Amino acid sequence: MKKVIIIVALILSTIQSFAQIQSASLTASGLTCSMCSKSIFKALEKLPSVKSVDVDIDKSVFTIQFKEGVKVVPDDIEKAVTGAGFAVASLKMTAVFPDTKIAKDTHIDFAGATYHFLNVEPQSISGQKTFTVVDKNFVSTAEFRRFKKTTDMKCYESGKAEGCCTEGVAKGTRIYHITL
Amino acid sequence: MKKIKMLGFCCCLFITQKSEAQELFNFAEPASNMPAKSLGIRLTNNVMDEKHLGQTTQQFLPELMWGVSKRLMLHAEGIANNSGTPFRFIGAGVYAKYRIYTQDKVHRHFRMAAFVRAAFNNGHVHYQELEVNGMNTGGELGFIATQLLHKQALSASLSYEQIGNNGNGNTIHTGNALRAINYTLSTGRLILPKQYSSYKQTNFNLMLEFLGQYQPEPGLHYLDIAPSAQFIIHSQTRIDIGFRHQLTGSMDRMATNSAMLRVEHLLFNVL
Repeated sequence: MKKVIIIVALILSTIQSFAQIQSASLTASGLTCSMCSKSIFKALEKLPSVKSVDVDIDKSVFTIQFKEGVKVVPDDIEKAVTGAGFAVASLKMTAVFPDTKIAKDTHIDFAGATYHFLNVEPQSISGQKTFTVVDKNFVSTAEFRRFKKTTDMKCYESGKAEGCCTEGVAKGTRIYHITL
Repeated sequence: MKKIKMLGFCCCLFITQKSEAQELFNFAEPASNMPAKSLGIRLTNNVMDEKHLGQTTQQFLPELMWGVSKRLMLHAEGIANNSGTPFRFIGAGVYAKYRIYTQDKVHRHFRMAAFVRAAFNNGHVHYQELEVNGMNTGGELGFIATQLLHKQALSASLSYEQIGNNGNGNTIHTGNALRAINYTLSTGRLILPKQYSSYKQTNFNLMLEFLGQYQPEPGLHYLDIAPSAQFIIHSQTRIDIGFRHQLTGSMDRMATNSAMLRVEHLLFNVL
């Protein structure tokens, strides 16, 4: 019985680790000074999911390591940056994916949220992958317009599940749009 | 001639530097706000050559600053001086700044903000110059635009100032203006460090600002030049040292020459 419990626990822990965003590389825009950079650094450090933050002050790049088992919410990262007075220029996140078939407009439930792939070729992904969040407020206006042309789905504009999302996602659910 | 030479020297200093600029100006405010949920403490001391009284006047302005949200910040301020009296607190004020436009790109931004200041003051009213931030009871409403471009910052502001009588029976002299237009033009440059490697590096900035006032009714004006230096320690504490000198002017003022020393400390994410 003990062995069964241990095996089940191991399986569960493996599933947990699959569904974990491990790290992120965030580029902030609108700043140059170290005082401004430090305000972002302190706001990121305070997020419950964040384990540590490293910074390249000159490039305004923040490398974030996340705690295991704590849900990572990209919107919280964006709010930390905008609350400090600046904007997200780019957010690349690294996670371990289970075997997943993706194509343009595939929606997946992953790491506690729904992610919608944009501008990708049909393929299978597995293991550690880095993806870029391309929602409004995570990319420049020009990039947002460019990605908008790659999908007919309205959820990209609103960031929430619309009538277009037919894969069992409740209307109004936050959907993060990503690309590889 | 001396003034032109000084202006030329200051302009050359800023044009020839190849390092980076900042926008945390010492005499004017930029359109950017302090971080949300943060508090700041700012202690400003102006040393003024008050020729009318034949004394060196100390003006002390302690401020508490609060980043309410990403768009709104508030200041509460005390006003003290020793102009013709022993040193004492003579008034208080509030200042609010709201960011109304933001265009951020990596290492650059263009921002606009609206601000309002209101203060009461019980001090004597000796001068034609209007200054809600330190000398007069009244209010000020204005706009600021700031451009940061590859670490070079340029900022301008325009405001309308309206005053009333000061407290304790200190009324405005008959014929003196009650309204004024204020304007500023500021630029700043980061001198050190040449390259960032840590938040512990001390930053050294040089600023050059022009501060002016125009009173339409009596048709009086002044324009000051204000060079200053700024040290930022541990990316959290500012020490500002600046001088303000009148380039041209036609009104009676508390001082046409003054020096400023300020210490400011930010407490990030404490609220």
